[in-house]
Amino acid sequence: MNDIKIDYDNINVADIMKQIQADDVVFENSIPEESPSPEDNQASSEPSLQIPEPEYLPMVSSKKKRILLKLMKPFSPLIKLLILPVHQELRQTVHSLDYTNRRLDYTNKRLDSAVIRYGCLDITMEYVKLLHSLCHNIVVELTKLKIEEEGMRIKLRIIEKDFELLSRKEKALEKKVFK
Amino acid sequence: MKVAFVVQRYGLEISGGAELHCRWVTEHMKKYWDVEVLTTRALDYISWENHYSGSDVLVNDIRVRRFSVAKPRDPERFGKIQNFVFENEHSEEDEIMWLKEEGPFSPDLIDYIKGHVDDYNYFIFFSYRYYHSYWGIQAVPHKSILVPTAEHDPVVNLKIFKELFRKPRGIVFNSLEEKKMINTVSGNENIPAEVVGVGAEVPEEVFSKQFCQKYGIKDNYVIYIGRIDINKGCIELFDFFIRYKKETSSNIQLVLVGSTVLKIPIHPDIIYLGFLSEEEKFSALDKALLLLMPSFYESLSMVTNEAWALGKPVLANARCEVLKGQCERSSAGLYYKNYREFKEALMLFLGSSRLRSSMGKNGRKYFQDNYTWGTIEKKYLSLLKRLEKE
Repeated sequence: MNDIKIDYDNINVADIMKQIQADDVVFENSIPEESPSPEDNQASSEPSLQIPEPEYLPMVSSKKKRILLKLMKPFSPLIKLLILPVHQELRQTVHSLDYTNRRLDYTNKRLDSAVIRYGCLDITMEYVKLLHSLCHNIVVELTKLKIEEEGMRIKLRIIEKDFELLSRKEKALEKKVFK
Repeated sequence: MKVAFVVQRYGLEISGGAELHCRWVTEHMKKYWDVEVLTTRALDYISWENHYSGSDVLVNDIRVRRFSVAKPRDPERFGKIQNFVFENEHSEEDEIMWLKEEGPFSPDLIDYIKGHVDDYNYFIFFSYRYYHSYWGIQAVPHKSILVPTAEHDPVVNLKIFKELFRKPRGIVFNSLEEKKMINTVSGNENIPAEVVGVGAEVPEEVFSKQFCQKYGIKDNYVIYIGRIDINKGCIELFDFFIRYKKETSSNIQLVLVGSTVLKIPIHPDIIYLGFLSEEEKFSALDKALLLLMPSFYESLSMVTNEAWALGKPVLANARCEVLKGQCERSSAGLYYKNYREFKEALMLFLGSSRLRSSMGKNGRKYFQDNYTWGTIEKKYLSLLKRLEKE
């Protein structure tokens, strides 16, 4: 703490607070110079984040997808499930989640090392960390839900088709029986 | 002059908040006016269940008319409506519904005001945010004076209150910050207003030595007095204090006084004394090195005034504009908005008895100039005189 000048006969709270806050700034700025640890050196010279970004495969546009679906309509829903590039979306999502996970691990590691180095942890940093994890978890859960929804839709379509087929069969059999 | 004080709850059992503020003002203004209190039969501020049986009683020689609460608050329903109103786009009707759910829902009280307008010269409403003030002021705007006791929380931004703040004949604010906030929200600068606050009565003699002996406390402590609650910033205070103890070799202790709704951390230097009598509270405060006031929301902190009355400096939360403003105006307290500032300010206080005594002296002067009952009474009288002239 730097010496804080106080006029005791005429106390000016705003002025004292300014000095305290200035001390704060000095403290924050002085931290890296105080004890440059090997980790710190690594942090300052490192080529930032060296995590390879996921490769994004070209997606089938929704228009093309619609045309494909139209063309495939007469065929069985099973073929549809096999041909449709659902796995591609899934693969891409997994890639992107993996990338996010690695980024998160990297950020957490840096944050932890900073905490160890400075011996103190501002509560806001804790909050940022928690919020980061929270956002990540939300993204993961939403993605899972989206994939599940897509799967359910496809299953529903298959069941519908099966149902139609069975109804047609039922009608045909009824006709045969009553004849 | 006959004046009715209208408040959500009234009784000797109710300590702290706008209710105690109202009781003190009523008891002090009794010598100038013919005063009466109009209130509900509720004691519990969460449910507003009817508790008091008598509907027309004397409390410290003041006539109190109590009206039934027609429907107690359903906390679950209220919570849902509150979440909807605070987090979504909504209509004025939604806000009116929120107000009704918040309570204390006492249409009898409002009917009484409507039916007895001519019996009173003025109605002084305490706490803008409750049912009684909103509908009471609508019933008698030309005779109403509002003591908003507003804090910087989301309620103040509701549309219905924007209109409400423009309706009364006069407004009595607790602090300059509260006045500024309400003026900004509603643009009601033209309404006659006075920044008054509330006085404090400090016992002439305090028995701090006996107090320390009784509770086995060393005389090297800082104190927090009030409800121990998350909204009062107590969790942050515990966190900061424990970190301060870890980082410094200070032997300072933290004494907590008041009822708690939180689990207090187990720490050898955090001493919880629970709810104390007024006499013991002042004894505890008198022996403390300083008062800690970590609250985020205050329209006026009575305990801060009491600390200043005893010549004790204050370390307050800077995120509460009112506390920050009061510290600056009084030159009797410092403030913090993060741990670093808390640590520096506390170190400064603990390391300099001269600073503590100079700030204590300033606090005592600030209290004498602004918060003695004589000053408070004069301000109420002058506002009513102004209204009479108009």
